[in-house]
Amino acid sequence: MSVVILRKNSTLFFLFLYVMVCNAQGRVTGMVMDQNSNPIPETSIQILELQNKGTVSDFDGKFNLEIPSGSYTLQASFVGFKKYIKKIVVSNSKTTSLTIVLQEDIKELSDVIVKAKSNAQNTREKAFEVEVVQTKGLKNVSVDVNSILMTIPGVNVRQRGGLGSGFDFSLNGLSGKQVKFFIDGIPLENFGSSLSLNNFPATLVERAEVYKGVVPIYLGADALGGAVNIITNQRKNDFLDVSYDIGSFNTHRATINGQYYGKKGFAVKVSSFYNYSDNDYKIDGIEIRDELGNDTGIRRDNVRRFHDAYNSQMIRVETGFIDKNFADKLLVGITASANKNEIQHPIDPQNPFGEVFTENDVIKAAVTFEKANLLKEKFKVKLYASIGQNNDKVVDTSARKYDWFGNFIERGDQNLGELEFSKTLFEFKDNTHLINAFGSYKINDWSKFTINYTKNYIKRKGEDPARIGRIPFNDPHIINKNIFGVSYDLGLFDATWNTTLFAKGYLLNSEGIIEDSFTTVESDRFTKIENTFEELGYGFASTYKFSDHVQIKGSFEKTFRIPDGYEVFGDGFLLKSNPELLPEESYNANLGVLLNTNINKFKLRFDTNIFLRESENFVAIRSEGIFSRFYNTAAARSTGVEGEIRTLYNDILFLDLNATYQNIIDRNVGENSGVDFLKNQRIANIPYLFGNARIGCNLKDIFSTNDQITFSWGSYYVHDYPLTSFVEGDPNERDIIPEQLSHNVQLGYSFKKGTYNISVQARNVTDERVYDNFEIQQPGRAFYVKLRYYLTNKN
Amino acid sequence: MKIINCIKYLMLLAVVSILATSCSSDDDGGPIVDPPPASVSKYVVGFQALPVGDASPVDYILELPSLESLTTGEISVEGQGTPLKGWRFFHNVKNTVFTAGYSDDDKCIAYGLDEDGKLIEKGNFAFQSTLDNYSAIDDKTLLAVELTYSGLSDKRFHIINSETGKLEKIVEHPIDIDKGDGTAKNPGTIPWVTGMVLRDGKLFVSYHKWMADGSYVTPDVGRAYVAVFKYPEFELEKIIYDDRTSPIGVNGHSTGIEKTENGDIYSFSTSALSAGFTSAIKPSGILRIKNGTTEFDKDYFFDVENAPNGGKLFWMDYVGDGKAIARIIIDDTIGPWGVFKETGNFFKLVVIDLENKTVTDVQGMPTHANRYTSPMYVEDGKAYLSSYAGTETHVYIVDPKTATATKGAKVQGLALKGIFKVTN
Repeated sequence: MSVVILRKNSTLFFLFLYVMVCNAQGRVTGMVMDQNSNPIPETSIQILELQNKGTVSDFDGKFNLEIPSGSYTLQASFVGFKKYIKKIVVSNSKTTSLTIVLQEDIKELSDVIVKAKSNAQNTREKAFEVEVVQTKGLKNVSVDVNSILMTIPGVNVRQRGGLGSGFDFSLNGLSGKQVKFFIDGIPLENFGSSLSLNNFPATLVERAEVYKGVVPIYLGADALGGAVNIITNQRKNDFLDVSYDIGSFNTHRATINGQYYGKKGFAVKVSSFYNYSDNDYKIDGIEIRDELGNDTGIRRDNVRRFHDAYNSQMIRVETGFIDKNFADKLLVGITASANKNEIQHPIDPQNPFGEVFTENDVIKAAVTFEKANLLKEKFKVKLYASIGQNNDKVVDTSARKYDWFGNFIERGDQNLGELEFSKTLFEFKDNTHLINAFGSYKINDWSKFTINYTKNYIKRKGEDPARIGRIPFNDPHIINKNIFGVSYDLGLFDATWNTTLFAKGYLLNSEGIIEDSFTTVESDRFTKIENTFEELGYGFASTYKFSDHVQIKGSFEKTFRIPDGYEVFGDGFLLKSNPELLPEESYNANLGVLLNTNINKFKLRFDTNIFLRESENFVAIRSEGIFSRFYNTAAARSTGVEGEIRTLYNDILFLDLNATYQNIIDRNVGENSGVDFLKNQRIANIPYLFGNARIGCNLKDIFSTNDQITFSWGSYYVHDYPLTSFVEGDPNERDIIPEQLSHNVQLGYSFKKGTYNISVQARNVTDERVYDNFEIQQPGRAFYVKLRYYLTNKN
Repeated sequence: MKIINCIKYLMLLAVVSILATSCSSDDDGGPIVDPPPASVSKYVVGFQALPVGDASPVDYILELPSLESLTTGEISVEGQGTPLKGWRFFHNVKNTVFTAGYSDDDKCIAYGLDEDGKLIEKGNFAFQSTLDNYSAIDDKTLLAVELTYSGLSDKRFHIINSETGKLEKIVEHPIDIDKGDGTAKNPGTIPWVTGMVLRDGKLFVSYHKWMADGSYVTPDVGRAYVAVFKYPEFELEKIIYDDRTSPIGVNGHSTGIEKTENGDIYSFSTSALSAGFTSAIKPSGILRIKNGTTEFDKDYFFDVENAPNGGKLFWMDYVGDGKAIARIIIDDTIGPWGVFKETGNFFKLVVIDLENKTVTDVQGMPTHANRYTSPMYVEDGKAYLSSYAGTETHVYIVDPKTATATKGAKVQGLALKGIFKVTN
């Protein structure tokens, strides 16, 4: 009986409890994100004890559950991530708030590409033609951002030497200022060579997004041919990431990356790099000349470069508050960077320099504010403002003429510089400020309205203590660039058809004073010049998902590159003004297909895109006597196809292949001159067929649990291409940039869950003679060892 | 046209192969006696191609089989010619064609025909700084001088052997440097050579002057000057002056002074603000240094600027029989260095009778632009010039006797920078 009573009692007790709980439901809210703090929508959230209780996270990764008070086990799971399990205690009428960081499941990854629906995948599935590279697997390897971007179809990076050397980045055939670079959405265009991409080791970067031809409005710039956005650390955990690598040619690279989150939302972030290399690799085919300069006919191989050292360093410190009522993010930061680059030779490598170098330093202070969930959780805002100073200096004070063996003679004319016609200490100082404002309003579940404004202001002034008389930019020049963007996003049919429509307004003002030193009328001597460009660009991007396996994408943009101030009104000295200069403009279009499939243990992703860039008014410099001037020159058309296959077998073996073919023609030259064979002639000195292959494996739990061995072999191919013309000149006499096939091999070992990492890399392992530019030889075989220590409080 | 060109080459090929086979059959019998190799002549041009894309124009060296290639049809580097680096000068000394880089390349390359009549590189040398003025001072020597727009250093004369293409000697000489006092007000002045002529062991060097501070200002524009050196000693004998006109020559041209058949030397002065001078106070005109003398001829001055059909001279080159061909600037008010653009309607072409001091407009030649001109090619008393007019470039054949030009071959490029005939 007693048992029965007890049972009754217990039933009663449970009934009582149940009633109490019903009256006193608790609430669990939270947000699911990946390690980079990007929200993960559609994550399944379950309370294991309550079989029917669960939910999925919304588009912003948020979820909300009402459950009775008590202790439970919460499980969050999503394809490609490890299951997250946590004990929670829900108490009466209270809200339990959780931030769930899902760890990517390494088994699901090839080392570069996240096969799961990570943030990268989300970006990739956007309607824009975008490539995303996760640097996760590359953080242990001695590579910089440029060498990662080189593995993307459509991208070609031509280096002029070793670490820190100049480079030309081209995207679907457009290059130079036509492609714009961003760090965390902030344009880099007014900052000097110490912050260019080749300085950033992969360790400091989370991922890179490459937008091909059609660029979303939040990247505010006049990008004619696309944009590259480098995303740095966005994580919300404490960590310390330190790396050091050492390699051939006395190369040293170190990075520190870390952050600390205090309990009250206070945060400190630090990231820093240091790069050094002598770049003293050996080159071949050096002409031996007698003391007068006559060619002896002798050529010497294995000549060491002797004046090519590069060093750069950067530190960025940010501090502020995260996840407070008044802001999701409020950070102030300071970035300081500097470099020194010795210049070994001009375009012609037969003519070495021994003393000239350039220097760049940048200091920048910025404030960032982000707040979501305004206006009934529908409005999100991001603000950024910075002021900075950029100094670029050329130190060319030697009249010596060096040979390739380090010997020199004093030249007869002691006024000569090595690089310049006369000695120089030319320096320009740029004062810059930059404002970026972004707002996004969610109209309803299937549509969104976004605005973006970017102001990029630069005031440039030149100085040269080594010269008397006139120097470039003696009077300051000002460029004030304003880019406005609006876009409307629409998702239809359960978000299987997503479209973005956008328009961009470009407003550029430049002003300066030009001195005409040749005038005889004193009142004509100084002229204030002002110039305004106003252009309207527009475009769309649309994608339709037939299934989880098949997606098509199309995008289009009419876009501009507004000429910089000095292109329009010169440098106030030998570069003359051309007030009639028009912006470069281009109609860009992409059409692509994405396929994903899993066949047993075999995972396959295929991605292809055809592109068109119909461009006009390319701006190029032309000489006129002692002067030069920028003119609108070619109208070009770049068409091509690029494709990529990524495969993964049994989560161990991977093979990635990609290739790009592009045909770039000049639409004007033959037409205007009446020369038939030059009609629609191909433009020389641009690679037109290139590709990458990578094969490798990831092995886990070898010597201990949670260790990993990674091995990969990467090959890079560029078909040969002519320097000056595809049709002109005797085919046997044409200057050719030869076919390039180089191989990099790397072996890495990580243990203690990635806390300790060591990798060995051999670049150009077959010691090929590699040229990215005519006759400018790239480094031969080189070895690097990298050590990395990664400590975090969340794993 | 392509077909015609093809046929031409095929015919040439046929002729060459017949010659070759007949030679070899000759060799078969009898004692081995090398027959004197048949002398081969070819035309060689410096061809400036049209720029494709946003690259700069590329210069080619191109051989042409006959004079007819210049007078009819099209001249093209499609599938032929050798591309060279950067913007270049072209000059010749008899059968050797020299081409030297301006800013992107620091090499001077010599080309000539080998025994088989093939155009080959004879040699090359690298120079320290741009060689800005050139002259074939005799049949074996190219004289080239390194110049600068600022600084007070000596000018460096390069003596180049045209048979080997080798640089043999460099002689440094200030010519006429005023060192000033190093202040911004008085930075000194430096010479800019515009022509060099060797006559009877004396080297005449015409020049104008720059302020030495790199301001591109031309001082001392109220007179003409020529330095007279003992050659080959390079001893400066004297500097001669004449205040009837302005300094001699124009930047980029090497024909500021030239020698005629009878040994007289003529000079031209531009006085043009659109041709690199920052002030002009004397008329554009022509002076003479008579054979056997080392002074300007006081009895001779041709005021071209104020002559009928005249104007400011941009360029002049002696053609023979007391006549020169010249470009006269149509509008000198288009701004500093204004006529140096690659395209435009800047010049009219004229024939100048040096003895009789007349200017005659050349008929059949449109107004045109032409930034750079190698010494003109003359054959049978006729001058061959490339000029860009309208939207096309042609070779024009100018007859100085009748002052008429006929349009020759179409140049499928920007310009022929130089036309030369070479023989092996």
